[in-house]
Amino acid sequence: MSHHFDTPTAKEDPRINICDFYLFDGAPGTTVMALTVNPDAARLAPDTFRDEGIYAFRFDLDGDSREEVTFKVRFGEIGHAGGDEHKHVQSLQLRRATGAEAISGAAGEVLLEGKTGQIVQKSGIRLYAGLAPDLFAGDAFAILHFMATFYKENRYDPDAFLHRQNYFDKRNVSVIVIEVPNHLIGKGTVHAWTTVSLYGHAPEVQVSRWGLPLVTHVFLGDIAQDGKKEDLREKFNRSVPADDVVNFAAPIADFAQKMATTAGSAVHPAEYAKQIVGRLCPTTLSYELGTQAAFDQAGFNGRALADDVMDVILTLTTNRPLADGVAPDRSRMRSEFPYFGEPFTSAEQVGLKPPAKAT
Amino acid sequence: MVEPLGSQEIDLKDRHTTLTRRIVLTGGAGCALTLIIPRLVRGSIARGSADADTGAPAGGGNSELYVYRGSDRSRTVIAATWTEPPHSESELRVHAGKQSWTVEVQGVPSIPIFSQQDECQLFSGDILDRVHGHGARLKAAVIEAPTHIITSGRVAGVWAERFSQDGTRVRFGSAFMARLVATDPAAAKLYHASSPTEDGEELTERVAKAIAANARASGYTGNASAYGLRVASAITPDAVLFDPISPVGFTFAAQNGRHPDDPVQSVVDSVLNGTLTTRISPPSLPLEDRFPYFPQPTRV
Repeated sequence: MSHHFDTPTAKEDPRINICDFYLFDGAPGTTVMALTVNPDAARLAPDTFRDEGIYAFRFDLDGDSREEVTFKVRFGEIGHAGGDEHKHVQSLQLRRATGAEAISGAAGEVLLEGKTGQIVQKSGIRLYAGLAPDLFAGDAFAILHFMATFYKENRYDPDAFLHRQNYFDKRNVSVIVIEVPNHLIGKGTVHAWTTVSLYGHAPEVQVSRWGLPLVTHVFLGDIAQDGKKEDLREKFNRSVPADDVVNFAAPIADFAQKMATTAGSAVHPAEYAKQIVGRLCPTTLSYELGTQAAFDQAGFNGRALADDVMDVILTLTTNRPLADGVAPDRSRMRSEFPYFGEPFTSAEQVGLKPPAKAT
Repeated sequence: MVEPLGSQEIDLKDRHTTLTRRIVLTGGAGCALTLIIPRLVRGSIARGSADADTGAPAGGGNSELYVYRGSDRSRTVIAATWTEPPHSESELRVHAGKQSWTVEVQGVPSIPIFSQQDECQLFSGDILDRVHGHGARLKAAVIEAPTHIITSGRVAGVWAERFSQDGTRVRFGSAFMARLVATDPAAAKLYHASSPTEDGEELTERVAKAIAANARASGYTGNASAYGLRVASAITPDAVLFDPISPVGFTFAAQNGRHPDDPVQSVVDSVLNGTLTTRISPPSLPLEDRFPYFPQPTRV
């Protein structure tokens, strides 16, 4: 639920709803970037990608919250593999853009071309797009209950997390995984985020953005601004990190202060709120290229597949060590590209309940 | 303006790490305020324990260092507290940015000492143990000073060293190191024998090993050695970092100073164990409204 079921736009088309973003060290000298869409793919969501979409991984190299390098993936029309109407296949293309082309548009140097469902590689670059297990772990019912209690009863209820069921277990997503030599990104510490934009017959419009897990669900939830309820999540998805402080520092701080006050977890809740803003705005994922990625209580340095980001964010939200009792399934991870394991089969998914809906 | 002895600027806005990065500090003597107590027998000052194999020096328990913004936001409070055997006397040196203070602490019967010079207030003596209660006591030295003499808007590293009559030296720093040296004799031996400017690879490696061991014991599922090294590199050289301009507090989000009521133990344990750990020991006694802020035993 990093971003699952996020906004009206995303709910309309899960193919353009970014669920998660990962950034970690791959083979020696390389970095892996991965994004997932289609929560509960091939069941309640498609298992394909939108052919009008630009799926982009954006890297700020100089700390100004604006991208200098962008990797863009686009897909062709949906076909059927081997004539099987149940097996979808699309052509795909990976481009690398710098300068003005990194910021918008579909232009860039073509790095790879291929088809979904297959590993494509050339010159040390690897690409895979297709069905994969959803490696996000979170007790969706617990966090919904926790947040509802906070907003409606003004009460801190950590016992909500005694529920301990991973609602994303045995679900699939559609993943795009890219592994590139580090020099194609940059050097040192980078700040990254992903976007999906629609591009084609109409002017390009960004419809989904992801930088850090759960920011929109937790920190930009039911916040009233100036007496009006604003859909901050939709605003987030359509905006850029360079504007995050202006747009979202105040609501994030407001929420964090109220939570710390309710939880009784900070000597100065207002100061804690400012510390949280310092951690979350701009909402980009920092990573030192060439180092072991880890998103944990010691800090954010990329995000590896096995990192339990839910616990990290819950703890930051409350300033208390708070865990939901579920963790990513390591048995569905590979030590080599594409790092995501086999998707769950229909037989394995028998009995799955519908996903929890964000309110 | 460059701090002497190779200190470096710290960017507390480096958001990719919870742990604020360490700097090489200066412990230079600036405005030294010394409390002269008649008839105090001063022990010889020696670096390291007289018993080289025992690791942590005797009487080094529960050494805590607090740095926080005063109720007057233009002033900073620095407080060191520790347990000490009765009838012990010691000398405490507090280093904060470019400033240093030397405080003599009497043994029992303890007479609290108050002093004021220039714009600084100092206290040394017994305080009540706010966590354990039941009249238990700690030794303390509390300094309140204008923030501008500690730091001119830059991050200040604060640390302290206490010299006992038996010649042992105990070093005070961050809550992370306080917990590590309390449980790892090898790390304690290195730590108490050095100053922040001397914290080198040997201490970092020892700390990394201790953290990795903690992580394995706590069920950490990743690469414990890599985790230990990452955390150790972030917490050494050791001091309490204080940036008066940035948001203050020792929390899961950041560690800027340390207030006596900050719930540090859960943060410390979670980071040093690699797994979320709950250990909350809220104080049973509140702080007081006026200097020295820590409640004192009632004098008979």
